Amino acid sequence: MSPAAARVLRCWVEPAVALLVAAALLLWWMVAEAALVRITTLTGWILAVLLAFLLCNAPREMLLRITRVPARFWYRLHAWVGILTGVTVAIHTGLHVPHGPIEALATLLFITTFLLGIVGLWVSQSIPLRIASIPTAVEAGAIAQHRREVHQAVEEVALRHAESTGDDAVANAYDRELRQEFEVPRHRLAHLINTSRVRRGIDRRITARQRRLNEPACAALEEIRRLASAKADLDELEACHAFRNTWLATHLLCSSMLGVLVVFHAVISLTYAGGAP
Amino acid sequence: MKRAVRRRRRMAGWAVAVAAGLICLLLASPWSERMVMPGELSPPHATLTDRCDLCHQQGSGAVARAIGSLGGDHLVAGPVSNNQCIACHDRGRFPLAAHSVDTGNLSVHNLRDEGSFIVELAHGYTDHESLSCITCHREHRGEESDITTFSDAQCQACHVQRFASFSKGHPPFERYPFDTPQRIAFDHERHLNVHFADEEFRDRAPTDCRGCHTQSGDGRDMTIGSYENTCAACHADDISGAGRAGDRGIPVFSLPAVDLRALGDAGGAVGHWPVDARVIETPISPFLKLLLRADPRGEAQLQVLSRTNLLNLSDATEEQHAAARWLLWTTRAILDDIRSRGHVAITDRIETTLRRPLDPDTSGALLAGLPGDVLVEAIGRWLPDLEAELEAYRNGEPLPTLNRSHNGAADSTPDTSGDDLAGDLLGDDLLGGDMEDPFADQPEREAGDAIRTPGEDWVAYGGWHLMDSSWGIHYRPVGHADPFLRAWADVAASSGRGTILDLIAEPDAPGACVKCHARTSTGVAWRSQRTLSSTRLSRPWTHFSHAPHLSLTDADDGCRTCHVPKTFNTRVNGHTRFNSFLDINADQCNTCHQPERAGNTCLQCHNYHVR
Repeated sequence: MSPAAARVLRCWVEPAVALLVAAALLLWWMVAEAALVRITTLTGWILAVLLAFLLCNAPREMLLRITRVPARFWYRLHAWVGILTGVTVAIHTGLHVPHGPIEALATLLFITTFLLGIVGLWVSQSIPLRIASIPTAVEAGAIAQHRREVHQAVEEVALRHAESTGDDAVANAYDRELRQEFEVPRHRLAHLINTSRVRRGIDRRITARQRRLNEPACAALEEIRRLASAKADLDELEACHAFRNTWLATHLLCSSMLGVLVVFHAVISLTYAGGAP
Repeated sequence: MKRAVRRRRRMAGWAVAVAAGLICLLLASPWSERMVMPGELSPPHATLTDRCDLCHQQGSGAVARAIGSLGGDHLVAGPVSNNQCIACHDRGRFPLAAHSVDTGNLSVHNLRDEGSFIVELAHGYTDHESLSCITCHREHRGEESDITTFSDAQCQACHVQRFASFSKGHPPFERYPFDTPQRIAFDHERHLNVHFADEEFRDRAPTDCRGCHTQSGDGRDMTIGSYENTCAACHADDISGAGRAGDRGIPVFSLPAVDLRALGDAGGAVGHWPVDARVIETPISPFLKLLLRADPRGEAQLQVLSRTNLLNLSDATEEQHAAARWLLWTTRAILDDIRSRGHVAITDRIETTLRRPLDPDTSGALLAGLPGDVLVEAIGRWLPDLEAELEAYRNGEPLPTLNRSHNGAADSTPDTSGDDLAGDLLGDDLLGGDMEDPFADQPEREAGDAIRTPGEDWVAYGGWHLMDSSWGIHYRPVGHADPFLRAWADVAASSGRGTILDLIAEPDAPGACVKCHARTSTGVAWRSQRTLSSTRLSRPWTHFSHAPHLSLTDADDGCRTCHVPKTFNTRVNGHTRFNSFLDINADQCNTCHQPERAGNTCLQCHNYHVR
């Protein structure tokens, strides 16, 4: 498939099909609303199929390997099926939180999972771009190691300057104002929302020191400024990875519990529902 | 990467295990019902919350058994049992059929085509014979839910939509609200426009409709006030007879007039009979007919007599003469029996005629007021030789045909049978010979002294009285709902013999019962209105409550805002009955019954369950 065709498919065909299906479902619901139509039964079975597709990740991965269909196809399909499931759940529940405890919990879990899915759409689009845009390109697993190296490097700069010049101004400045910035990951939220306030704050403190120091000391502080930027990059990288992992874990956790509740609800419904002589 | 995937899978596995474990734990806990219950029950069923088994039946599957074993026996896991619903909610013989009636008797109005897969799947039923209760009534929708309120769409699940809404295309009302003549033959138009406007009655007339009609307890119906509070002010005299020009009492026991001369000419023993057709024309009273029918030959003889003019037997056949003689002797026998045994003699004959025993209450209502002394006095006065004559008749001895006129003068007709006794009786001295003058001891009466006892005017407030002028004992109604008239009318109606009923139910008969009460196929509609339940049964497909509508009436017109008086005369059993109002105009309802105002759903006026 050519990139242009893929873009048309992604931008127009997929949303159009999903919207048509959702509109058809909503229209049918409005026409048949409150009638004798067994709308909950019908939407229940539809939901069973949709949720089975959404929850069964392992078979999807198996299909991915067998069919060699690109992973992004399954990802997009997952997203659209998720949206369709949201519409179906709205019809199934009649836009009300059910009265039964299990059903209410399942609905709230679905809403959470659905919203997490919406967040996931943003995460899957923005986080990789953010990670790619960070100059310090480090794998997620190596971030801690790199942070320790940066910490050691900045301490070496301060120590070397003190030994070579006999001036402890840089060491004092590092010890009093900058050490905390290098020892542990900091300002994750600020990095996540991509604000430069943290970087500018460190810059301001270093610049303020430089006004009262001689040239070698200023050079040493400039080296520390570079290392501080690298540390901020690592922190931002770690914040992005952490956010993505947390989102994925929460989405997965909610989905798993939702799956159990849905199965329970289905079993109870099939057991108790219906009339008999 | 693989480690991350494994970690995620492990986490998902734990989440599943924790959730499943929690559910199992809760299922085994005291809150198990709450766990499986998809929502609170509606208020009418709220007390059943902890008793699943009162609505659900035990399922047969493994899951149902598993839930039962986890939660306990009370946690019955199975579908809703329709029989459990019906156990409390009586829906008649066809509880699960569409509209709870025999579908064979249902008119098919705009039903959808059934049978297609999508219709069955969507509607959840396959036929109209066995609709499950939960097809419409959905429970477990919270404490605020109303499981008896439905939308038009639910009706249209079966019925094809024929018109847009109540205001757009609903058929006009036909014969609504009165599709049958009323039980009280009350001409509203005439009363409102003529009688109530009359100077004579204006001060007694109600000022508005509520003077006679009041709301029922539940506000649905407008009931008619009691006779005493509504009609009595003007109609009391009609019943007691004070305002009547004709007879004010009903002849209960009376001697029928017979053409004695012709009967005597025809031969056969007749004896003394005081009522000669030449003097008075009293027919056989219906009450006497009822007693005569108790005689083994009564039915046949009365058939003959029905074709006989008793007032002129000159051209009668031998069979008719014999029937007339039977009438006289059987009447004597009845009166003699009554004189001897009293009420029992009468009830025995009534029971024989009706072919069923009378209960004490009915017997009491029929006869308790009958004064024995009046009856004995009357028999002794009219037929003084009753016992001797009967004995002679039973012994086959010849008797003369003797009539005593009102003024006490005896008249005789020779017995043409040629018996010796006849010759004696036809001597110069009519009352000479072997037979004593039966009136010898009676005081001599003057001409014009025919009415010797207090008549119907004497019993101004009703009761029994002797009417010498018609040789009868009459009953004058005591007042409204006179127990005697009502009891006799009911007995006559139940016997299937209309003679007494006809007598009482004549519009101008004493008591004037059917001047107001409608004559029905089974008697007289004594109750002024049907019971509320019967009213609702008569219109099982619709319901209406007056209460919310009363504030909408026009200040001047009142109830006439909707109920426009109009007289329709209907003849039922030969009697005129009135349908007093025009059909309700649906446009009047439309002014309020719009979706955004009072609503216009099907079930606001129509009932689904017709029983």
